[in-house]
Amino acid sequence: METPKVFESEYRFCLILWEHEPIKSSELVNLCKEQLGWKPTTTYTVIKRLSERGVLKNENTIVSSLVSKDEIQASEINEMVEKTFEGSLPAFIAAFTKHQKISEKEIDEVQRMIDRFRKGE
Amino acid sequence: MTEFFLNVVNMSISASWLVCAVLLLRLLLKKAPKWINVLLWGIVAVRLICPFSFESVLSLIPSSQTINPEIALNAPVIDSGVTIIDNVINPIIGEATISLQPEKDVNLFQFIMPYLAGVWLVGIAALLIYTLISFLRLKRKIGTAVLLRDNIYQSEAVVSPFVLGIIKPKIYLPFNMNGQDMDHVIAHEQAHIRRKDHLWKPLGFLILTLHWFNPMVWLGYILLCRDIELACDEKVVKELNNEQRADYSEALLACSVNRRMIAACPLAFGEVGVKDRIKSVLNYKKPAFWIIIVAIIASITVAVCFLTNPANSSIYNNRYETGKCLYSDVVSADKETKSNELIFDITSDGKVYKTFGDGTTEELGVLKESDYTAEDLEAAMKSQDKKLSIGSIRNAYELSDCIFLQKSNGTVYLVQFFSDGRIMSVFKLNRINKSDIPNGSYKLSKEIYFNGAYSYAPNFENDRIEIKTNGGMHIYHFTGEVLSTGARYEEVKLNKSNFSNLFDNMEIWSADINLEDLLKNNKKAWCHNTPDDIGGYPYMLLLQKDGTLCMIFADFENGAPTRIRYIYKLEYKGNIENSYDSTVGGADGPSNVIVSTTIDGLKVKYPQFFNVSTDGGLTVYIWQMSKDNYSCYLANTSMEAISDNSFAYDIGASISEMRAILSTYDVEQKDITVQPVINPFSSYVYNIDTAYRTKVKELFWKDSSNVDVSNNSQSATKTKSIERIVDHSVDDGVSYDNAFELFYTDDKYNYYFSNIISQYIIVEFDDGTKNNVKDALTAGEITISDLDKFEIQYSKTEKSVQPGANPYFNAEVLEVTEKNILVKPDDDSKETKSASKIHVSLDVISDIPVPTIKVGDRVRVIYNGEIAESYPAQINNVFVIYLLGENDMVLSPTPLQ
Repeated sequence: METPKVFESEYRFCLILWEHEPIKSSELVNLCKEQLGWKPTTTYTVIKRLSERGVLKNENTIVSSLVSKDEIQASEINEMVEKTFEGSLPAFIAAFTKHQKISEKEIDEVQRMIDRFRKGE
Repeated sequence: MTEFFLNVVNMSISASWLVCAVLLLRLLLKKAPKWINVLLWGIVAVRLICPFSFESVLSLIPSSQTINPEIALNAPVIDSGVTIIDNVINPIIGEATISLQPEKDVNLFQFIMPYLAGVWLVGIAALLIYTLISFLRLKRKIGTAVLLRDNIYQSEAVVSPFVLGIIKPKIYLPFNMNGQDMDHVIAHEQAHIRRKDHLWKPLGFLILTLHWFNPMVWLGYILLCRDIELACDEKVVKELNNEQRADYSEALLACSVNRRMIAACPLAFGEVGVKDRIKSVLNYKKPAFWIIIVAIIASITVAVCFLTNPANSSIYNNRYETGKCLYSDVVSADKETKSNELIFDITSDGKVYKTFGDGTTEELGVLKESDYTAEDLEAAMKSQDKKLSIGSIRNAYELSDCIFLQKSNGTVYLVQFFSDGRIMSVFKLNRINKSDIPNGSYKLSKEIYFNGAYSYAPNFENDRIEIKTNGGMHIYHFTGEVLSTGARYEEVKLNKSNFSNLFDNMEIWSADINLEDLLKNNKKAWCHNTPDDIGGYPYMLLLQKDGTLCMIFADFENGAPTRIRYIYKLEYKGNIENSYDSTVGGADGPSNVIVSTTIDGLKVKYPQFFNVSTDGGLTVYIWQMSKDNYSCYLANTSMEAISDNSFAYDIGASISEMRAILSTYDVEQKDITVQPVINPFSSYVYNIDTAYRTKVKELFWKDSSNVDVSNNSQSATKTKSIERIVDHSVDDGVSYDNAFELFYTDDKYNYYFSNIISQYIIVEFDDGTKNNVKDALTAGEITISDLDKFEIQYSKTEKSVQPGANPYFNAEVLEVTEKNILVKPDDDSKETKSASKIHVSLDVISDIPVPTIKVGDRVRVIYNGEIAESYPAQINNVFVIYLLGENDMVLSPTPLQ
């Protein structure tokens, strides 16, 4: 199943959810007011919208997520690679390295990730 | 609504001239700070919404009423102030007619106006709805915007940063802005908020919706938006150094949007003319101080020239009433139509209508331009031994028997002539609004509605309604001479509860008018504001669109009307000033103040102020009719307080008279209360507060030495004698009104000066004090014989001879005998209708000597009006006979000149 799309402001909301879930919707409303500046009606609308999209579920006023942070992040990156780098992962990485300095430690970590992936094939 | 629409259109047109001026100024003031431009647009906004304005000769607006809201069939519709335009458009519009009903052509322009007004309203609604919808959609899109800090939010829906919100403005930014850009953008948006742009722009847009049909206003709005952005940039960039300015421009570029959106709400960062803005930012230099000064002066000038309206200086299309009398030949004035109550209506094509005091109107003809000059007037007056100068005049217009003179400042004078060409009177005319209800007396003329529930029909023959509109609408109802009610009326809008629902018998209406017509044709209505519970009380005054006035009488309960009893049409009967005895003195014309200094005289004049009970003290009620004019009424203190309704303020003694009267009472000053009140008939407005009360009390009790009343007017206790009496009216530079002045009266005679000069004739006493002759006579310091002694010229008439009140005629002498003369009255006299030959008795009643008369002489006969019908007819009661010379000027005896 395709990971549902989450817009930037909704993403900020999910960050709060992931940190505090499972959480009563009323408390969630308070947190959103504090951190995002959202009116209660806005929060409830977003909860409803995201639940329809399958990102979270709202059972007996307890809200919990259906999609994890990793999944969302991965989906986001995927979309970016498709759109911006025409699906080329190396191009994406290359773009990274052009602007960022990668430490030795990070190069090793990436290498190990690639090896693991190869092994899993 | 159509009228309102036309007023908006006129405002729009006026403002368009202003927009042109502002465009010009913007070009000239390129180097000036941009907030000046925004200020100029502010001036335009004022012009677009403010219907009121001052008239000023400095106005550069060609016309403030380009389209005449009162479109009448024959009046020119367009007065744009530009003659060429007027002359081209008006005939076209005038000719276009449309036939709706047989024989009833309606002017096309007039006909489509209401439809155009409808289209205008629809346009406004459409614009407002569109804006509302855009606003709501935007609000929804940024509903999930996330708070960054303070009042700054971020949302994925934001493409270009903007400010939204009127009460609590919030800044909306996109996500993923780099830090530096973000700081600049935030600075810019915050500058917007500080300059209150989030208020001005929506306001400007609202004004635009009202004037959506005017492309100049659209242009103005677009430029306003642009100028707002530029002004904001300036505010931010002022504080930045060159490098920061470069960064700012980059931020501008980064946020630039290509879309052109004329939306009211968001103040977008990148919306407007990005290239120009970047250029301005990079080239910004703090403007020199003197440029700012020049710009401010220019703005003020523009404001004065374009916010003020041109003075309506044409004599055409105006209504005038006779105002100050500069000269009046009192002896010969026709008693029926006193010149000081005339109203002249001059239409736009020069037709003149004269309305008399009794309400009747006469068409006088069409004005013709004349080359009569002020010098001509001066010369004519001189030949009548009068001095009168009105300065230079711009235009003169003549009719058959009068001339209108207009000065360049717009003031209009009326000169009326006798049939022999001599000047009869000169009046200054005051322009009055056509919709004004003339102050004055009205008779109930026609019954429109009578609720038949009463077994008797009201008899309103004796009734009179007095209306005074100065300082609010006051209406008084008199039955005979008794004041029945008087109150202030407030303007109201007719609705079911105050009008339509109060008719319980709909069938009884007069044939040619009914409730629907009355409502449909009604222009304004005024309602009695504090009615008592009573039946058949005056309730409402209606002014219909065609000028008809109706008075409504109703029943009341608990202070509210329960049913309407009668409605009467009102007929104008004359000016209020004439229905009241001017015992308190008038400012215009011969001074009518009759002051008696003897107690006996006062007893005759004010019998009700004598023998008032002093139990509990006396109260003097005192009110002002004009600035220096006080009147007093005496009553017992414990009597019920005088209210508006219980006495009609028609008896008032002057302060000195009242003091004299009080001196006949055995009461101490401390038992006399001086109580200021307000006379509802007085047009002089004043407030009664503590300061006023003190002032009046002091005024009343001061200077008891002036009031010298004793039964013997030549009191032996007078300690000063007259040194001399000097007539200063002949001095250089002295000006006075050329009208008769009644300066003194005793039991037998009225004494007159031929001009209003009593203030210039000064009596000098041997103790060094001085006084003018009128006050000196009043106070008993001098007598009339003193005037003779010092050769001061005056005339006197026996009191039964009232100048101007008695009929007269000119005639040619046919025969002369010892006892009478036979005369032939002039063709244009009324008397000639009774008889072609009249015997006039030479035994005149007044002591003015009869001049020597020969056959062939021309004479003027003033008599009591009775002509005995015989052949020849006889006039036996003659007051005066004058001998007339060339041009019928009075030769002898020395008449009342």
